[in-house]
Amino acid sequence: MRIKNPFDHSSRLLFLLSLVWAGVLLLLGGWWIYLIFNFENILVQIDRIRITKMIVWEGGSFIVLLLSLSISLLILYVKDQRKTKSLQAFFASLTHELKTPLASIRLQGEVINEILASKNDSSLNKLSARLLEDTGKLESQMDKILQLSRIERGGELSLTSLKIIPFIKNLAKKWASGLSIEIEAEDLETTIVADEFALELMIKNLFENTRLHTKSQNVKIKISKMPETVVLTYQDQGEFTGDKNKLGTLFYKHNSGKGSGIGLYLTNKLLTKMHGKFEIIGHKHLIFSLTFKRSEDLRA
Amino acid sequence: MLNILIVEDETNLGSTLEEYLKALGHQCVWAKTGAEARVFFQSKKPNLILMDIGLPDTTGLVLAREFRKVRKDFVLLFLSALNDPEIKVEALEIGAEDYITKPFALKELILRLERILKTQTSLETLPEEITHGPLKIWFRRYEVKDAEGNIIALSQKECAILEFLYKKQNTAVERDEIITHIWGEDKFPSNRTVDNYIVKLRKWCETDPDKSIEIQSIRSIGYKLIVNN
Repeated sequence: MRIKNPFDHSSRLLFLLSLVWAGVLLLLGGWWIYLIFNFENILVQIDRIRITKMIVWEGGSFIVLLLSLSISLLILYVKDQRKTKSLQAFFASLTHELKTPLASIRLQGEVINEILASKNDSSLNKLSARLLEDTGKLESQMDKILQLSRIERGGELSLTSLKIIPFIKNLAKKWASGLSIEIEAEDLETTIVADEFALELMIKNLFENTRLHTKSQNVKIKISKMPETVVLTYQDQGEFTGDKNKLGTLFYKHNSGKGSGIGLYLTNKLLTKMHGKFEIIGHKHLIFSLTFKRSEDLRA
Repeated sequence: MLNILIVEDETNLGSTLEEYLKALGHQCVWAKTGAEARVFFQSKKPNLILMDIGLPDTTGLVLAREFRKVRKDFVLLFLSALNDPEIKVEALEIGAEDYITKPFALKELILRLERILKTQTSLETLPEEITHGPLKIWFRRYEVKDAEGNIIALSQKECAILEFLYKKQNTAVERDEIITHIWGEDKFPSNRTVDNYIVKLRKWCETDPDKSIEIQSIRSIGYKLIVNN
C-alpha cells in the first residue's frame, strides 16, 4: 500500500493545471492571430474595418482576461508554496524553542522523583511518575512534528550501521511499558542501515498506536534476514475497520480522536530516506512491515 | 570526581544541572554565555564540558573549536535541542564524545558521565607519554605521533579504543567487548563501526616498517594489539 501526502498531491495538481492553462492560452492566442492574418481577404470583402475592430477588441479582451487568470493562478501557487514553507519553518523553530524548557521540566521532574523515592510517600511518587510519563508523551509528539517539518523541507538522516535486535529490545524496554512484546529473530547479529533517532521514533510510534487503538496489549515483532534486506514485521491484536488505503495518509485518523495522524506517514517518509520500504499488510488485523537495507558486517 | 563546565543559556536547566551534579560530588561551574564560558575554561580548567549549541553571543560549535585549539585534554559532550545530522557530524568532528539531544533522560546523562569518569581514571594510570620505536602515544592529549613524525589528533572513541586494546595488549579482544566498553550497554553500533575506527588506528601504526605496534585481526573474534618494541 502506498502512503500519500494530500498536500504534495494538491500542489502538484495545481502546478500541472497552471501549465495546461498556460498551454491552452498560447494555443488560443495563436489561433486568433492565425484567423486575423489568413482570413484578411475575406474580411476585406465584407466590412473589413468593423470586423477587424471586432476581432481585435474581442480577441484582445479574451486573451488579456485569460492571461490575467493564468497569472493569478501562478501567483496563488507561488504564495501557497511560500506559506507551506514558512509554516514548516515556524513549526520547526517553535518545536526547538519548546524542547529546551521541556528538557528542564524533565530534568527537574527526574530530580524530584529521585528525592521522593527516599521519602516513601506513595501519592507523591505516583504524581511525579505521571509528570514524567506525560513529559515523555509531549516529547514524543514534538519529535514527530520536528522530524516531519525537517523531512518535508528535504532534511537528511544520519545513516549508520547498527545491530537491529538489541536495538529493538532496548526500545521495547524503554518505551513499551504495559505492553507484552514477543521478539522473534533468527540471527542476533543482523545489522541494518538506519538512523538511530528515526528508527526509535518509528518503533515508539507503533507502540503508541497499540496502546491507543487496541484492547489487547500483546505485540509480536518478527525480524527476518533476506539476501539484501532485513524485514521487521509488527503485529498487535488490533482490528482495523476503516479504509486501508487512507491509513498512513497525512493527518488521517480513522474513527478516533486520539493521535496526531502523522506517525505512519512519517514512518513511510523516514524509511524511504533509509533506502527501505513501509507496507501495511492484511485487512482487519494489520501487519506493519518495515524493510531495511542490510548492512554487511565485515568480519575480520 | 569530574571537573565540569556547563555551558547552557536556559536558567532553570543550567541551575538544576549544576545543583544535581554538585550533589553527586562533582566540581561544577555554570556559564550562561560564551564569554562566561571562556573565563571559566581558563580559570577552572575543566576536564568535562557540557555544551549547549544555541548561545546568546556565539554557538557551542564555535566555542568548542576555540577550546580545542587551546587544550585537547578535556571531554566534550554536546547537549542540544537541534537534531540535524549535519550539526551532529560537525560536533563529532570537533572531537565530541557524544551528542545528546534535548530533552534527555537524567539516567542517560549519568551513564555517560560514569563512563567518562571510568575512562579518565583509567587514562590517569597510564604514563603521560608512551613510546614504542618511532611511535608515540599521548592518551591524555588525544594525540599520537606516527613514524614519519606527524602528530595525529584522535577522536574520543579512537583514543578510548586504542587505550582499551593497549591495556589488553597481546590478548584477543572481542568486538562486542569493545562495543560494551566504549559505547556502553545502551548503544548498538555494528561491528563494521568498530572496524572503521580500527582502520584509522592501523594506518597510524603501519607507518612504522618495524611494526613496533601492530593491531591484528582475529578472524570471527576481534582484534589484538601487539607491542613488538
